[in-house]
Amino acid sequence: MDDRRANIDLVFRNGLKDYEVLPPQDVWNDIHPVIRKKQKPLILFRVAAITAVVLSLGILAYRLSNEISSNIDNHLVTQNTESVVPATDLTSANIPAQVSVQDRVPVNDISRQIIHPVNTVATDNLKTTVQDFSALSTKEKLDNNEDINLGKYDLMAINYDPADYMNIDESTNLNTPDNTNRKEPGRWSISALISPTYQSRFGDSDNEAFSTLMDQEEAMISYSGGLALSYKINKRLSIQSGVYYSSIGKQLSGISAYSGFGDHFYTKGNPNFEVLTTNGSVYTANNDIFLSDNMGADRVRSDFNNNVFDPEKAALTYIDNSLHQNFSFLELPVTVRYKVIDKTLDFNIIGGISSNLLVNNSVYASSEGGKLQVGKTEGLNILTFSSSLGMGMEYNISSNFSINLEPTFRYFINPFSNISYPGVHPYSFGVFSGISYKF
Amino acid sequence: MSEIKNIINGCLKGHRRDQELLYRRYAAKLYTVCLQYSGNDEEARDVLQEGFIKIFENLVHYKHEGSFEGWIRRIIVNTALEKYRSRHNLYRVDDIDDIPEPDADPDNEDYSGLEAGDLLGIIRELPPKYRMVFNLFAIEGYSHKEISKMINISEGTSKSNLSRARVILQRRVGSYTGLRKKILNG
Repeated sequence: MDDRRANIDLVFRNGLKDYEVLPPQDVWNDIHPVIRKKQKPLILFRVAAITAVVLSLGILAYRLSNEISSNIDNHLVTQNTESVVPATDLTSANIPAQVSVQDRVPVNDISRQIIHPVNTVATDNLKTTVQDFSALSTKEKLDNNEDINLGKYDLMAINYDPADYMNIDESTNLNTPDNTNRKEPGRWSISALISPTYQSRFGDSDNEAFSTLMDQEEAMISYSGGLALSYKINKRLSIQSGVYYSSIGKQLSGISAYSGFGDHFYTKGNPNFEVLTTNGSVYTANNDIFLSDNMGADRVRSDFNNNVFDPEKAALTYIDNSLHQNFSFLELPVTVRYKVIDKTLDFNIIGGISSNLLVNNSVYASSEGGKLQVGKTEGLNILTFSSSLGMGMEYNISSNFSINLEPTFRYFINPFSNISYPGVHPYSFGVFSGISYKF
Repeated sequence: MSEIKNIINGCLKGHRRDQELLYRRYAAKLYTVCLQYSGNDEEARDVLQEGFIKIFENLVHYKHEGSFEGWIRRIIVNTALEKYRSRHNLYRVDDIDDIPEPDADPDNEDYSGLEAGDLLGIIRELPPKYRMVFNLFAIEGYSHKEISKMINISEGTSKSNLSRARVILQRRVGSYTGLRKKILNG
């Protein structure tokens, strides 16, 4: 009896083992919005966190720059105070009982002695001399007019000769910064900048074919970097140009790639597969590759579809579940920078246009850390134009060097492909960071 | 990297295509599990939907150890159990004597000719408590001790429910095969 009962368990276990029932069509439509909604706060949180970090760094740098500026000012004031101390002593010290007339130096001469202490008079003597004079109130001395005949000399007439002041020596212990050799930076500057870039596109959502393809494509994080030369027209305005290299790309999801197809079919000349993308068609150049669209979006066109050839049965090597479409450009931007805030941390508004020369066009599948070339996208424009708008933060670490942070939005005036869908305009967002040298 | 690993990584990055690919790959198999544990299609649909949301939410915790299919199946079964626990007060466990005696030979062990769809239909006709215990013990392979904790019953009740479930199933299977024989013999 127990065996029979255990037998019924096996009947159900084995009978239902590989049984599948298709769920109602609309279940996925109810699942996807929920998981998307749960992902969105995470994305928003990340954006908010990045914004908060950038803002915090900006505020911190701004405050730091203010503190540094005020410290420099205070330092200078302190140094000046120290240098004035002997002058204070001029009025506060007591008069010695006997003051030799020979020791007395006319006021104008005192000033000269102070600023030429080493060359003319020994410091100790000078101090004595200064104290001697300082001990006398002006009125007293003028009234007495006996021991000290100031005559035409007047303490109020102490007059620092700017030329002498500039020649002040470190041995005076004034410790004021030596500005004599400091050279104001010139109007030119050269910058090295690099940025991770997020690329997407504005498109006509009513275009069903475009929307279908767009749904299957994911933007990849790309990068852009290069050198820029800038000329300062005036205090606030400068013009900049340079050479940048940028690499942008898309992930074509849901397209399975297999290798080993060349053992089964060999074609010469014509590509085996065409893949439809929003940037135009990709044609395979590697005849060893087999492609199939898992998403049923009919993006892969070929004589060797799944009805004709089964890659699993043919034991082809599975490579990846998506293809990567990559474009590289050499960019020649011309931008104008307007300095809104001119402090240790400068804020600039940056705008301009760029001509972009296509230098690399490839489609590949990722394979165990490597790349397997699949083919290239046909019909791409060799030259495209883009406009850019950004905000630049420039922290001056010295009079010549500065660190730059420039969040920049770029909008492509013409699409990458001349056979692309109408009304499709790529855009990108990147945060350039780098260093500038002014000369 | 295996295909499923690629799909999982794509899901973790939030790629919609990979999420849909994962769903399409396993939906039919998991919907069968949902039907096994549910008395009606509406409930099975809810379990599938809630279960898949949990799968996507917990994908980050999947360590790529063991079978991925086994991992997602456990999530679906647990979702079905949660549904059952939340509703079990609403269910009435029919007494075995209340179940109409089928026109069948209980000693008949000829189960040939029974299709998977028939088996699924027979399981779904079981009262919920029996269905739960039978599925967890006979199909998933849990022990009575584990089942007792899962659906908050004693081990004795679990054994008793399994025993009753088996009797009902044998009778139902017998009635199916008996009916089939009658039809075939005219």
